[in-house]
Amino acid sequence: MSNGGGNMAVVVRKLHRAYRMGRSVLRVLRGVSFQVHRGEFVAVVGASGSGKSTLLHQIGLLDRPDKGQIVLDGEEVAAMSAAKRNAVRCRDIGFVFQFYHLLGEFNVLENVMLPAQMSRSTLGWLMRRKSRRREAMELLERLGLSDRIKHRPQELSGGERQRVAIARALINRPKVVLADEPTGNLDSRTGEQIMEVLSEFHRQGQTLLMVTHDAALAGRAERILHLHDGQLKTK
Amino acid sequence: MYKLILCLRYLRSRLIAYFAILGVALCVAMVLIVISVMNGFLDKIEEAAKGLRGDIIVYSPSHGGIEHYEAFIARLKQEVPEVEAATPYIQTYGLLRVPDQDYRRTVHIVGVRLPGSPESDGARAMDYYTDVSTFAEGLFAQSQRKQPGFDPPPELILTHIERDMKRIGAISADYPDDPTVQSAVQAASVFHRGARQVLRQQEFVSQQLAQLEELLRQAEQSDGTDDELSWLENAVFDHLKALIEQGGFGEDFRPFENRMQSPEWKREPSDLTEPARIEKLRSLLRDIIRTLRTKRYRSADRRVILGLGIPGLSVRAPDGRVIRMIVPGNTIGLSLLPLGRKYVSDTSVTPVSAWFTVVDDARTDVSEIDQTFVYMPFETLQKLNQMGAEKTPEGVTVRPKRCSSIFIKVRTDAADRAALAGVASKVRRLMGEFGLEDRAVAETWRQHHAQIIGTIEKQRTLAVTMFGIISLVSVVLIFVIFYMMVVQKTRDIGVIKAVGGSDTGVAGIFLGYGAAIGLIGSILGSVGGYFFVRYINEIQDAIDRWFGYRVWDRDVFLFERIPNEVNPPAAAAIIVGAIVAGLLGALIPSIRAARMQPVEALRYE
Ligand SMILES: Nc1ncnc2c1ncn2[C@@H]1O[C@H](COP(=O)(O)OP(=O)(O)OP(=O)(O)O)[C@@H](O)[C@H]1O
Ligand SMILES: [Mg+2]
Repeated sequence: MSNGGGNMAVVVRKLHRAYRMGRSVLRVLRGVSFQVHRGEFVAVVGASGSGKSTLLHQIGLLDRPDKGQIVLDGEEVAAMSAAKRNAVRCRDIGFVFQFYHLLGEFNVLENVMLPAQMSRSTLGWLMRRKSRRREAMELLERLGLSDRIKHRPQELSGGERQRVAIARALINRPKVVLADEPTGNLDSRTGEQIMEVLSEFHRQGQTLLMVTHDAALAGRAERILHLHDGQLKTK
Repeated sequence: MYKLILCLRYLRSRLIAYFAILGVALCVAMVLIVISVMNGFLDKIEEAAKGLRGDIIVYSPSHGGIEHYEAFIARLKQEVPEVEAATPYIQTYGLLRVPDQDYRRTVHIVGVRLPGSPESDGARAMDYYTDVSTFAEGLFAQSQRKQPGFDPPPELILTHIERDMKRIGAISADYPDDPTVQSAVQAASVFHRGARQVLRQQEFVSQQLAQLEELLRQAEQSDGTDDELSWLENAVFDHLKALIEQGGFGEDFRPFENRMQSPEWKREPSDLTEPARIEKLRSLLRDIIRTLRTKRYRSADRRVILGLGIPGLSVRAPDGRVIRMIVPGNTIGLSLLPLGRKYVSDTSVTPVSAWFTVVDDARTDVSEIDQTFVYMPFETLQKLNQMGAEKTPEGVTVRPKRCSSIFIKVRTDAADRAALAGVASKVRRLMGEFGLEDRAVAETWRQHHAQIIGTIEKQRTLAVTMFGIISLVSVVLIFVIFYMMVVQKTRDIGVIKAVGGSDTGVAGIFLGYGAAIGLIGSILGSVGGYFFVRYINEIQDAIDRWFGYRVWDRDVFLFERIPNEVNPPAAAAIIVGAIVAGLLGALIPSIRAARMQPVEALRYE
């Protein structure tokens, strides 16, 4: 079976996802198909409630589609074991959420290092801790947070939190970063800054798939897809 | 790794975790205290039972007595190698009185063989009560003596009485306004003084006895030359003078003095040969010694050791210190029922009464025993209880002498439950050979005290069950706290899963959390419980001082002090139990956390 070419980071084919609520069925995704090339920056734009988050969750292995196929970096997702799915979530995908979703009990550095820690056994982690810490510090420095590493997320502004979340998404050098309205909760200036950071990483070769309802933000992407009535259209 | 860190962070940052730990700690401490005290109670009963009556008890339920006990004990020690010591024992009931006082009290009168007691020939093959029991340790004057008995040296008792008077003086000074203490102290000083007087006289008697016995020895070695004879006669005469004048025994010894001054005595030297003269002096000396022996206390076999704690004979100060009113040297009266007699056709039971000199007191720390027991020489009680041999006028024994019980001490290596049962059945087989099987019963200490042991074991089970149920509360508490935690931390669960955390990893965080709460709680609880048990008596004393309420009443609970030993295996079991409870309480919330879909968790607001 063709998995959709060697240079595709993400391939989605005829994806369906419906929510059952009592008797009525809400069919959110109705046969979505698209591809993201390695190193590409793709934006999905759609109205609120159109199913953008739902789509991203399927690709990010946070939910399972009813029907359809997802291929990540040449590998068919449906065939993966639970352990493999965990490993892919940890190493190959970096998720940036609208509401940051940082752990309140961890400080900035610990939040950033969490995926790095999880990707290894305890022993492996203890052996590589120093170098991973250095990498995390470098990343935080690039994001302008090097003087806040001991702070708890609650003590940071929204923009700072989102930068921490981006650092967390990038720490394991994922094959694709999935960003769900990364600026949705921020004022426009801060949002601009965040977008600048993401674009910067994209320029260095990071594959990026972002969903947003803001057409202006989507303008920074190389390619824009529109989600409407559960289906994707290129404009 | 992240699980451990996150788990510790949750533990530290949540106030509710501290409440859970406190709840676990309290439950652990509670169960530990209850189990420790109950187990300690059972241990004390075992110790007391063995300390009082040995490991195996052979007794005659009918009070008729066990015949041929001497031969039985001799065979027992020959044939059952596990037996370390065996001693006969007699028990009956009686009334205790104090001369010149309107006082009476029903008591148990028991006959025991002690090393320093008068005894008949042939009895030496049997062991002493002190070989089987811990009786000697609780004696007032003789606890340090190698051979405690019913004939302690008067000077030993005197020093103890002097010391006791000082001690009572100190108690009196501590409670100047307590009328009970003050009247007891007053009575005590009267009886102490009386005893001192008696004992000083006894000291004199025993000195005189020793010297006269020495004279007799010399007289027996002498062949009766004139010089020796007159020296001996003078010495004896001096002693008689001393006994009459210093000792105040004129009535008893003036006849001897008169005999020595009589013209016949004076005339004799010329008439008699030397051997006859010395023999005459020897027999006079023997008569004097025999008379003087009857002056030791009352008489040789009219001596008793009192249990320390018989109401009315001693009083306790509010802090528990004992004020002895009747002390060694005083006299008491006993009237006892001769239970050893055959009661077939006649219905009347005539009590036997006599006055006795108290020579010591004994404390076993079992308050029931200390309050009602009077100890008497075995042979004396055998006679008084009519358990001696019954003979026809022609001297044919119709009924041999008897005892009520035989206490057997078993070597430590055969004293565990199973081994002891084996020894008991060997004892029973031997009883069969002596035809004792239908007249006497052999029981291990556990069987003999089954009623009280059973009661306490049931109480322990009940208490442990009750407190175990209460401890379930702590499981529920942990469960509720964890459920809340999982709900509160739903988004964290989503995040952890979104960055690659496995289901088991997430469950592990909460299980580890539960185990940690169980562990910390149980360590705190067991340390707290340990110190509570260790100082439980001090705590009770403090409660008594502040609120005037005693939880542990010595009359109800048999013993003086609350047991304060913590049993390490029990403590370990409780700690393990608490950790398991913590895990159990965390289990369902953990499973819920593990099963949660990452999206659901992330959407949760
Ligand atoms: N678990 C669920 N159960 C039922 N309906 C759901 C569930 N998740 C999403 N939906 C519904 O599916 C639709 C799409 O939701 P989704 O969150 O994907 O929209 P969205 O495009 O991301 O919107 P927004 O821009 O507001 O974030 C919505 O109508 C939502 O109510
Ligand atoms: Mg959305």
